[in-house]
Amino acid sequence: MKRILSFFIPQVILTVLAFFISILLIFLLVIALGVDLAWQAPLGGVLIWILFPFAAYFNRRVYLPTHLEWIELVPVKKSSLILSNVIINILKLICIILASNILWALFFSTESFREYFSFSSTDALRDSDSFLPDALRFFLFTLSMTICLVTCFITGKEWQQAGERREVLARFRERKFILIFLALCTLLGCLIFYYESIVTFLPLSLKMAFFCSLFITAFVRTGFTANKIYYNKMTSLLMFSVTFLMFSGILLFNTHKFLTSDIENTEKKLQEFTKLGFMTRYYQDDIKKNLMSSSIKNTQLTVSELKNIFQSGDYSSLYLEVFANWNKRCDEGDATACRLISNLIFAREGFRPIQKLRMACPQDLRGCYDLITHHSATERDIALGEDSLLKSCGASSNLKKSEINKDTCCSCFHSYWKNKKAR
Amino acid sequence: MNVVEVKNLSKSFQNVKVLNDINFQIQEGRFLALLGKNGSGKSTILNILIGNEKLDQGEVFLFGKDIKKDPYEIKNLIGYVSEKIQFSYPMVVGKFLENYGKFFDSFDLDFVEKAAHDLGISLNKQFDGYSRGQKMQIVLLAALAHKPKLLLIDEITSVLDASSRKYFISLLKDFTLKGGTVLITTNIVNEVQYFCDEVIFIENSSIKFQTALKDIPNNFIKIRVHDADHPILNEQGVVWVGINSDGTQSYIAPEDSFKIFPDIVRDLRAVTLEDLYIYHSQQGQK
Repeated sequence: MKRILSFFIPQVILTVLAFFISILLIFLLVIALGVDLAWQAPLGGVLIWILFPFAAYFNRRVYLPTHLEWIELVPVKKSSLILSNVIINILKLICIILASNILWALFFSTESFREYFSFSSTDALRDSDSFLPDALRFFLFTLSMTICLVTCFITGKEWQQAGERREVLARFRERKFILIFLALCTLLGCLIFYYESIVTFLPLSLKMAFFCSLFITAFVRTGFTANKIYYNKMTSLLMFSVTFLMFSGILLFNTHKFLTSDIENTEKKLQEFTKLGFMTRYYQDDIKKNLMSSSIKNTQLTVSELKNIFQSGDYSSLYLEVFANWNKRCDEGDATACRLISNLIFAREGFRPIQKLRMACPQDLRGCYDLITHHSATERDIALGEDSLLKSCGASSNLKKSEINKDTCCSCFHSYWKNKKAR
Repeated sequence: MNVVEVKNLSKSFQNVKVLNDINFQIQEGRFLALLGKNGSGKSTILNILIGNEKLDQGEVFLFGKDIKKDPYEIKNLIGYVSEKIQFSYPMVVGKFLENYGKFFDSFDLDFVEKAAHDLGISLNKQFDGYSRGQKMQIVLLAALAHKPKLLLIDEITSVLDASSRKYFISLLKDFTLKGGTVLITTNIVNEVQYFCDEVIFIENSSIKFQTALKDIPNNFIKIRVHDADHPILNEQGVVWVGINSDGTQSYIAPEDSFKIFPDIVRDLRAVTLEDLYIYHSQQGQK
């Protein structure tokens, strides 16, 4: 086995290094082009998915040979061949996942992003999701996912046996099962993507588990053939299912353990909670505990992230309790709490403008300013006459940010309230 | 000593019996050709010997060791040459063979380099960059380089050009003279008789005959027939083997045919291995 590994490992390392360098070059190119911040998140996502065909390609180039190739003619035990195959594939898997994580961190790390591009706190109020139209994102995502899945399967044994590209494609077209599976995976990917725009359909853990399983299945298919242990369609599906369950189980367990632990890592926990989507109902107490924790220092919880957390009902006890807590802390001079309240007000749908104004004033003056200057009236607002109130507040002073003070905002509200009571 | 011993070997693929109760032995130092039509099971026998296929029934011994027990050490003693073998790897062939040789107890890289030079093949290309014939030559050289005792060669003669074929046949003859054993499968029958010692003919999943080449003319005669309605053509065992330039047809017939038909004309040319091959092929179709 030592001879096999000493033959293959250097090649694996060289190939993986080339793989890493090419990914870094892509990343540097993206930075050098000065891509707009709003593009980076979806572009980074697309690039990460493109890692898969790259990975599959490099996996094909550095493989333990299959089916009556020279490796079966050398005097080596079959058990050594199989074990070597396992080690080499695990090594490749670790390298590829490492590359994915590095790229993920580079693209999605809030600190590095915001530090590099001077991400201002004002922007946190805006929804930081994709700038691209949904249709284009949709298309890019499904295209990249289709490419990666197709490549993963094509770089299996069929490619190695066929040799000629035409023959490979011809064989691929004949494999109805693969086409159906691809279609289902693409559909699933589309659903994941689509629902992510509105609610987080699946936790990040499950998505990671899904693609890690694809990795493993694709990788394993090009190995384990030294002793004719071929993976046919059913065993491929079984392998995929087992690894998916295994990965998702581990990831979900670790996530659960982290979220429910007493470890003081509030910022990280809040970020994880924002990704949970519909599963937040199972973590209500933990979410409440973390949101009301005094250890929140500089969190940049965005409007969309808060939306993800507070999914259930406009007047849920969670929301009211948290809001009350932040109100109290804001009155005591906690600037973080005041900023969180602004985000929370904008995140909550269903409140009337006047209700928002009442909540904003007198706690957060900046929030009040934005509410006045950026308000767009709904039909109901117009019917209740509240739109004119807000417009008049804004028009009466041509307020600049620096000119807003507590009295300006509150006088606007108080005069309205006084007039309303008088009617 | 029997280098190869096959006893009651049977093999099926998807319920189709490809080999049925095959028995043969190959002694040390022999050059044996395995003949048969396409799909007769020749390559299957080699695949079983090299361990690429598992036998359904029977026993196979290589150098006295049962192959079912995966005696991987004997792969030092076996060289296998086939078009299916690919040295495809992201490095040039010279570098690849340098690493490949480390798997064996001994590997003569100088021999490969010298022979490649004689054949006009550069070892500074990746394997996929060679032609079909060149690939086969490289595989054959690699098989010879680790000094095996048994060479299993699958359909090489049809791939090589005439000069390369001649070069390698001389290498193989030299190999057998030094005590090596060669088992080659081929369809080019008329060449085999010039370098083989024995032939095994497989037809309909079983061995039709196994004979030393020198024994062939003793069993059959070759005759010329002018008349297409000659009664000898209806006799058992008479098989057409070719047409002559004067328009007559050549047949081979059992040796005692002259006793029955004294007027037939004997073809003075010797019965060749190809004649015998056609005879047994056609017998198999009846």
